[in-house]
Amino acid sequence: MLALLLASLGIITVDGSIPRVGRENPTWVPTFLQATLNQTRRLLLGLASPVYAVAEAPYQIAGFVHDVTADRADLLEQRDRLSERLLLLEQRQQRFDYLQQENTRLRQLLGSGAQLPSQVTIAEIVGVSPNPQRDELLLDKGSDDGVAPGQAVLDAQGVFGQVVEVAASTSWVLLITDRNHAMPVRNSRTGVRMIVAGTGLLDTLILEDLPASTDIQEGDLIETSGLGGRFPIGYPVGTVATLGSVQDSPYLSASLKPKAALSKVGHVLIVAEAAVDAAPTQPTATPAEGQSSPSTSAGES
Amino acid sequence: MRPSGLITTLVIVGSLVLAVARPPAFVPDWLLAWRPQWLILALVLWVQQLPYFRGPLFRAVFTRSASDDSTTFRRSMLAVWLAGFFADGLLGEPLGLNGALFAMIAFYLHRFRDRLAMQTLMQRMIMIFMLVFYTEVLRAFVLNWLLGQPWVLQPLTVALTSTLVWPLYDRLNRRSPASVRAQ
Repeated sequence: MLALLLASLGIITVDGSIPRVGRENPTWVPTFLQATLNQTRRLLLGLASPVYAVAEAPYQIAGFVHDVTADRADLLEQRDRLSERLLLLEQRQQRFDYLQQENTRLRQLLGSGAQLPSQVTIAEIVGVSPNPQRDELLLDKGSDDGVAPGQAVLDAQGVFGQVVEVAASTSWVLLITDRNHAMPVRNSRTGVRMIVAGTGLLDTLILEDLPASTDIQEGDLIETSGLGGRFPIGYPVGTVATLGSVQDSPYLSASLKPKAALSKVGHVLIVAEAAVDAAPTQPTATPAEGQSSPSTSAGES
Repeated sequence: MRPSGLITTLVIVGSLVLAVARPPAFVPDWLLAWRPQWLILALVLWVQQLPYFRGPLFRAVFTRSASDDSTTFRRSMLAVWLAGFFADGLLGEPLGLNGALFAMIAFYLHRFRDRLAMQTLMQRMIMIFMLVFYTEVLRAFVLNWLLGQPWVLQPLTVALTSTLVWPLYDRLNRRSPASVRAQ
């Protein structure tokens, strides 16, 4: 009994000291020990996946039954609605293509780094963390599908979170609203850089250490800044919901309403490669093929 | 009527599923803090039925049955500890956390097993409340230490709902050979 408790305490201490995001190795943890723990965690997550699959089965069955028994008139109406939306999006896509080429030419003229193409994987949410204090979701895609820790997760509206743990066919995603999550962002109106952090509430984010002199208004759109290299640049994170001054403090208090539908379940996008290339490219006459803006990356999926 | 190993296995698997099941959309967020600790209830059921019901995990780890009670106890503790690791993977918690908690629960239940078997349902419900409450406080302490998770009333709410659910498990457990022997 004592041996088991001591062994547990040692494992908890070592495993807990390894940051979940990126799993960087602390200096005092031997590399082989970290590799062993990571492998063990991958194995356990793989073993646990069937339990989540069974737990999700009632929702899958309900969805299937709903699809099968859906009224024909409803389906036709939905088809018409989607056709109209497709037409609208195709028109927007043409505009984006033009803007993308123009953006590429301008970046080349400036000698600025080119944006790397994003590889997008569509994944389905198959579970949520049973601990209400942690905002984490389980996706049905894992390392077999090219998912790796640190990759950004988006939905149709905005930034969702990032992958923190990966098994062969599943992966855990830390939502941007988790208390342990923070990310660099910028104000789309002014370009001012900030840090947005989670609060533990699915409908609230906060802007940290915002000087009182910052040019910011309620309703401003906050988007990813691309700094840190984890989240691709330009994706919406949220809109400023409340602004206030703190008495005897040089900082503002500001909260955001996330753009992503964090409380809903469905499909999300995992962005595999979206960092900005650090090395400036030489200006060329023709725009590089395959370069994509965030909007087109999501659209390509 | 004595419960078969199959029924106990199904109850344990059902508890695993309930522990991670996503609540329907209409369930408000605040209610999630009242989710019973299904894993601990299943563990208590399993440990109280030892050595008559060892379970698939025990058989998977130790292909041959133990020769005496002492060996069975040691092997059971190891199986419980390994089950805790599975729970770590299931819940996405730091490795070793549930192993330690499960081993402590199993040790307590084994130490007082004959006394517990003679208690009334109300006494056993109080025991479950204390067991789940202390376990959740320890879990909250470790998660606060390692992940900065805030202190909340969750240990209390989880212990309360787990206590209310326990009679369903107790009904099955009271029919077990271990319980019959103690009586």
